[in-house]
Amino acid sequence: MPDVRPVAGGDTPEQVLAGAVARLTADLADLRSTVLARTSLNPGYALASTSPKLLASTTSLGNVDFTSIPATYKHLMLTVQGATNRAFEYDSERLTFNGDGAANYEYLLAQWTGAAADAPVQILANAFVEVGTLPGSVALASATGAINILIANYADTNRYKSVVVTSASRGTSNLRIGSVSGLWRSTAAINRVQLGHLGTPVAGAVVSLHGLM
Amino acid sequence: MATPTWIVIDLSEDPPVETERKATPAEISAAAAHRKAVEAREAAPPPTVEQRLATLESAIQPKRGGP
Repeated sequence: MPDVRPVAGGDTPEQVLAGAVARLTADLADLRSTVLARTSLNPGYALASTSPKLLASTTSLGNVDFTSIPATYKHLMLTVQGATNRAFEYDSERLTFNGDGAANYEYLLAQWTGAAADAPVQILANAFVEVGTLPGSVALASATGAINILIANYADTNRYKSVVVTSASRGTSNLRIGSVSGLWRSTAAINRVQLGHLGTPVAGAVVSLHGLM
Repeated sequence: MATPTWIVIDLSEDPPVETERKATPAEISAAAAHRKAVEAREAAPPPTVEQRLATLESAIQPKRGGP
């Protein structure tokens, strides 16, 4: 509330009112600047508020088990990049949550190469979600692949959890792209994410977990 | 051959602490099931053009009795 008391020297009521209006106008301008800076009307703030926060990352060569994931974030993003020593053109990756190895997972896996589309795979009761492929040892030398997994609303305790996956890989003579729609039939908040390979990752592989606000 | 090693990253620590452990029997079973499913698909011949056409045709057949 602006100070409208007359100041020493005997300002007229009009002068006091004009001063109060001027201060109020300045306060409103400050407030407007603050609001603009802190809302999505400002692209910079929108970017800052949704930027992924790196929770952990590893270059160790094995299956990866993220434990004690805090429920602080709205979504999780798991990113895998690399190749494995599996003696095939591709390796396949699998995802589980909270150590649940029962048949509580569903997924639809659709993959294409430059040569053909694989037959879609839909499984409605499985012990994991297949999330796509990385190059195996028969793929182009030094090739890598990348898999990006969005685990939406992971801390929700009301409904099952959805995952959306996009994967890119390189085989012997073709590129490969994949999409996955996955579901974990559990209302438990996700506090543990496990990613398994069939082979062993080769040097240079990176697995990262980000939190999204 | 699946790797028996799991890299455990404990996010309750700041910074997160990384350790290694061996796979549990349940994890070994899951890896075996995973390998079996993938190898079965890799061994299967790709669908022929005729099979693909048949799949497409069945998908676009008008449904009888529908709205």
